Amino acid sequence: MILLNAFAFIGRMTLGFFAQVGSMTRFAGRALVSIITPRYYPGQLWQQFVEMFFFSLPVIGLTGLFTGMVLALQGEAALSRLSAESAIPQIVAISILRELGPVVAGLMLAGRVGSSIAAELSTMRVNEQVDALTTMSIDPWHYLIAPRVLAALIALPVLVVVANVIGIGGGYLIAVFQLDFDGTRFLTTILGFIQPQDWALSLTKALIFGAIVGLFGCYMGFNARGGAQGVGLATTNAVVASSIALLLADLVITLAFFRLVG
Amino acid sequence: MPKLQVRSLHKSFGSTSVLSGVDFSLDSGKSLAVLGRSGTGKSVLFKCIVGLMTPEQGDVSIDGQSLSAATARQREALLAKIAVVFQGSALFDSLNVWRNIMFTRMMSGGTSKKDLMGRAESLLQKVGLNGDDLTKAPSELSGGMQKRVAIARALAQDPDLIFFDEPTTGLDPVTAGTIDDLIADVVTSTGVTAVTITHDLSTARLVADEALFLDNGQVQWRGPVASLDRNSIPDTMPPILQQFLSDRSVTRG
Repeated sequence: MILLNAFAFIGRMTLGFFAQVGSMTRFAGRALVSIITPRYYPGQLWQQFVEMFFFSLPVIGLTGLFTGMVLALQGEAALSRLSAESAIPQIVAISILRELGPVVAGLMLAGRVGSSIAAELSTMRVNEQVDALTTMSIDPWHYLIAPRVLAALIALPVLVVVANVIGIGGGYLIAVFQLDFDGTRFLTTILGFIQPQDWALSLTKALIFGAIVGLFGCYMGFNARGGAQGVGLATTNAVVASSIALLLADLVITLAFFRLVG
Repeated sequence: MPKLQVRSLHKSFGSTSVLSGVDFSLDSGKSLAVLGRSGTGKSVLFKCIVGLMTPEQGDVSIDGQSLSAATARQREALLAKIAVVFQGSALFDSLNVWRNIMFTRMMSGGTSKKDLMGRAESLLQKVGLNGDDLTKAPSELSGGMQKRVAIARALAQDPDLIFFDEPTTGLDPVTAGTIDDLIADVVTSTGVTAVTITHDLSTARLVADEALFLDNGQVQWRGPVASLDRNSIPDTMPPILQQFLSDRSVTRG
């Protein structure tokens, strides 16, 4: 009996998971259609972009700075065992550009913006504001979903560029003022080492992570049910689900990149 | 030709049938109260009419034009004739009072901010508020004031048909009475066709000419609101309505 219950539980969980994946895929498709078809609300898009980009700058700048600093310190700890401390600039640059810049900025955006989107939309949903839009002949997909997803798609690549530059700057500060590196040599080494495909990988990840954060925030918020509990659940689910999806996507993109580029 | 005609509306959730053949019509300029106990499908009926839910069977016509047979553009034009005052007011948190009131006009564009604010102010005065409230956020208003703004927002759409969904639920008795009076005044002064979804006899008596009693997914009775008197319940009324009336032993007004 216990075994049967366990199988039934696993079955329910599996079906529930695939139902969610199917529902999320349909949502993403409809969101895409609402982005490319009229009607457009540029004012909403601008407002969302400012909210996502401008107000995320401090938190993403700080996390980028600290990540770069720690990376330089840990890099020195590891490379000194191999007497290869001179490779610190390269380690900092490639780690920040290819991995830590996009992932840290993506996770920060999921925490700051994904939760905010989910909370706002779920509150609108449970307070009948979404219904009110519909009865006023304003399509919530065009007015609420499209600007948020598109703004996340645009904002995260720009934020990742900022995070990358500040992250490398953090590594520079530690290397020069803590590890006695020559500043000019540090920068020229990095500039000579970075290749276009490093930036391509960084920005590809940023674009996909931006879509994930925007879509999961909108999906969880738009489909919220119930009162305050529904709002709380939607917010938590948006952050947890988008963070997991983001890290999974990171792995898939990195594997694909190594297969394609090496 | 009736302003609103509902024919054989069916809606179920899973195996639970909520509406099982609702029929009624409403002439232009009339005010109808849809009465019923909680969970009898009043809100589902209202959502099916205003396009928030799709019925499995049946049809809704506005000015003789069927919503289900209409093209997307025609449907949008038909639904634009309807304004809704939601139970919780449903004001947009991110917009101040005047932007809430003039939301549909702002979306359609072509009107200056000054004109929009002027129109919003005159509508605010019509619902008993003043110009000082124009720039307030919805969160700064009491429940009764939010309801007034929601009514002003509905009027800003110049609708042919207004739906009031449980307009006094959640309000204290005094405020509920003033909102009932306001709705009655708005309906009379504008001549708009109105449907009020409510379980409150006092509201029905104040705001409507006729009432329709919904139970078990069907219209059980329709007649003048004046006959809904718990002190002299006619034997000709369905037993379920007699029970409903006698249960309302304590009501406002």
